[in-house]
Amino acid sequence: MSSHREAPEISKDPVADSTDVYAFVSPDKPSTVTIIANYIPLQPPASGPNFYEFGDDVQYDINIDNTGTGNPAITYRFNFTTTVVNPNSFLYNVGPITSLTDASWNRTQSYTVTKIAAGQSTVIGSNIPCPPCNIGPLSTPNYAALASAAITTLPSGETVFAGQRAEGFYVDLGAIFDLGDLRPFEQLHATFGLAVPELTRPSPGVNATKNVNVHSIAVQLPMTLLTADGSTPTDPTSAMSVIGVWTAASRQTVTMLSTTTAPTDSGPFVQVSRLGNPLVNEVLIPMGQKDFWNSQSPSGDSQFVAFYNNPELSGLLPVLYPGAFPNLAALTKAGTARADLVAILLTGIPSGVVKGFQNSMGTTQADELRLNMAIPPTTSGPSNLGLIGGDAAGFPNGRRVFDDVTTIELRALAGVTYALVAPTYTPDAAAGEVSDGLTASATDVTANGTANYLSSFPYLANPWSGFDVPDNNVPAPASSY
Amino acid sequence: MKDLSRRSFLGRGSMVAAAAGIGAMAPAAVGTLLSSGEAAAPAISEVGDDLPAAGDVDGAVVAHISNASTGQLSIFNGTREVVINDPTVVSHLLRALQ
Repeated sequence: MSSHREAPEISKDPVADSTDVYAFVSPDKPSTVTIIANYIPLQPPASGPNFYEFGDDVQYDINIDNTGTGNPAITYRFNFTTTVVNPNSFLYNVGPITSLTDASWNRTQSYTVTKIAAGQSTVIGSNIPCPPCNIGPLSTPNYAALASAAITTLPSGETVFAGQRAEGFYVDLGAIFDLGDLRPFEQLHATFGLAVPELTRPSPGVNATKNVNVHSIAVQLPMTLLTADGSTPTDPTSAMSVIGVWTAASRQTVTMLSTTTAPTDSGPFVQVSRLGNPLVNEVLIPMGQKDFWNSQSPSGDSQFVAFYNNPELSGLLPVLYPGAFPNLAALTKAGTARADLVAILLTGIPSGVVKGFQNSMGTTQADELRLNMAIPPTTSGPSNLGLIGGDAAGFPNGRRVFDDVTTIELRALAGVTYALVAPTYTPDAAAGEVSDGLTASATDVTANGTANYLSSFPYLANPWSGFDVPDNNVPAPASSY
Repeated sequence: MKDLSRRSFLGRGSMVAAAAGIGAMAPAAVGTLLSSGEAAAPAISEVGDDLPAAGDVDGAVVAHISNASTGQLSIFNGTREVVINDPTVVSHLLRALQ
């Protein structure tokens, strides 16, 4: 959830709230790319009687730019339909759900996939079932089998999945948004003159997304379906090997409520959420423009470049941690434009900046997660720090499920990457150390507190069950029953 | 798409009457037909031209006065939005609020 509840309006609309998007060369099928778009953040596993589901009234898109215009060349559109077998029961299920067609399952959801490309809109899959939410040993006794059954390969070559997953993103939300407290360094925090006993010594990070679920829309497809010319990308120096990915959710213009009928929607669809790179709308875009940013196409993102050139957080770090970032302080005081951040997050990194690496399709400023498909996955000892950890297969070259994007972007904002565009700049030592403290090392890909990732599609683990959540299943005292 | 055959904001009967009224007047208003979704290709048509007959409209119809001073009115049905400029129609609608 690098982008969960990141804008005022979408924070009130979790069903349409895009939380993360991932794009990577599939490690077990390196001729394919996997794209995962997550929605509905921070789901507690125990969530009956109305379990989490996609919105039937929301249009979910996965967009791919393969020419560098900032506009989608290909869109995969997902529309969901909920079916209630017996509306006279309050139950989600009336018995164990042992298959996706089990008669015991009272409230099911299915979806249609439409591919939009070259001006043509084609339904490539319909009535594709979602798995149920993971409830417990009585309702969903073999959840892994239910989830596997929901992986569907379409005649057109894409493999899709849409349903509940264990949250894979990890972040110390509680500390970071408590005025920039990074627990491993909190003894250095200025604390605004307050005496805070808890902040007198460094401490490990606390993962706020531990043991929560999310809903994922995942697509795995041959690279040849993504390139502009239908070729297999083999040249990492070529712009043709790069794609830009983002997800978007839209609702119809008007919703009419009534005391006698279900809500009705009318009018064209209006985009209410979008996400390319993690944490952009979360920490770069100011409060007054977050909702507007969500409504915009990436092709118009040059209007927001000022927030990349002079990010507020980069100016705050030296204030929050006095004495730790003197070089960063001088940089921000001078108003120096952060061309490194623009390259990483808005245009892709062109050739010549990082030796042997590029993920740019040109100069269009657009928030897209840019993946160079000709760079193979790192199968031995990947770094959760991605490119700044020497692993070119990781963020910002696309994004893998285990990449520590919070630490990567904190270090970039703290100035680590500015030296790439200004060789005479020396990053502060602290800039290379900042972290929210949730990984044991750069090669830790277990994701603190999240479920273990899967080694195959859809790569995010099966969701936590409401009945049996680790560290959250303390029984009542014996005297109470 | 949910069942749209139920009660709408203005009611199909009243919207039909309004449409008939618009057609009977001199077409001082110009309509702009927008298709659904993001890639709209606006086409200019006078009110009453290229629009379905009143009986062919299915589902809820919602009218939104987007600019009372110019008489701009948006009409929503399904995934469509039709924008018209008709101060007389807008005036009639506003009178209902008094």
